[in-house]
Amino acid sequence: MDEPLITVDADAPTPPFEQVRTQLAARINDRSLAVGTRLPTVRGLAADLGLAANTVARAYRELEEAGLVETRGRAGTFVSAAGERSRAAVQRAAGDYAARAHALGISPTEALAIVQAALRA
Amino acid sequence: MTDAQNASCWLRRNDLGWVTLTPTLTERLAARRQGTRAEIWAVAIGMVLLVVWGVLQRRAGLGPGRTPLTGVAEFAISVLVLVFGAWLGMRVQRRREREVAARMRTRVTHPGGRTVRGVLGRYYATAAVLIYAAGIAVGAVVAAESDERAIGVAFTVTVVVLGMIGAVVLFDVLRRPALAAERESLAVDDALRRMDARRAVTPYPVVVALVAGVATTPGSHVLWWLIGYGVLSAVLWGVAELLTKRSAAWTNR
Repeated sequence: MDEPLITVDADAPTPPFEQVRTQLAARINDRSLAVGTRLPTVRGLAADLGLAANTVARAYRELEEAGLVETRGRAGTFVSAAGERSRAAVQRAAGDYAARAHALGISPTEALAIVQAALRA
Repeated sequence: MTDAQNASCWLRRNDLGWVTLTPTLTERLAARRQGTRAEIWAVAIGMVLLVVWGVLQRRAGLGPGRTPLTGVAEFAISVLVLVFGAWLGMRVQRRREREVAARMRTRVTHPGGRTVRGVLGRYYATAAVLIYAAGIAVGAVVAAESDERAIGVAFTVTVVVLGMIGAVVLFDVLRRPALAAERESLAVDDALRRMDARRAVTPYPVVVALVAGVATTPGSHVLWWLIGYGVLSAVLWGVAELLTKRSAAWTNR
């Protein structure tokens, strides 16, 4: 498997902080960034990607709010175990939902559409 | 040769022949070559000045009868010349790299933080720590236990200073921003960083030991301490290189 990378395209319509946030979130969720992995420093990642430090700081802040990363003082920012727990909790909830939909006789397509609508809301 | 031809040669020489050469990568490798050229010039000029200084000293009748430490002091100055050359080369290279970076619309990097062990490799990191620590220990023992106290002190101080310079350069190499637009040029960036990191912790104390050995009194047992240290360091570095190559070969299997 190829090693995960973070790419920022200055010409993309998505703001740079959002590009950083979504890619890091995806790497954490697909576990290519394992729990406990130390992320680059805000300044380091900003320099690597040619961004302002505030841009990366905002992405990290939002990831922290989502429970995907945690800041341990001067030690740096690490992939949080809470992210794994959140993921496991969502998976459990999805299992419960699937079982409930099946019990109520709702088709998978309709059940999925309901979830998508709920996510968009 | 053009920059592109030079870049292709460099990639092939460093087992990176599979990397597609882009204009950005060509420019980046050209910047590095320019930095190396500046370093070579600075070192060459410094060395010529040192030689001229030596000749003038001899003409002034200061050649024979020099103190044993004169050789070590001259070596220390040579090291400073080398360090200055490397610093100048790095400045020239970084300036060009910043210009290249400013024009890049896409940037790529690793999402994980860089560590000394990750960049340098655990074998090189361990060997470097052992070599520098052993150098300080040998210098301290020579200073405390032998008649060659001055050589022991000079050797210890030189190893400590070289270790500090190495550490500063190593951390600078770790902090240097990645300069890559896609996966392939990031692989080149990683290779350059690895090379620079290993160069920062090259066992220069071995050379210091040789110079200090030449300055010892004939028949002194200190010479054997220094030779032993030099041999041990060379073996450690060789083993680190061997283990790193074997580990890389195993990973690529």
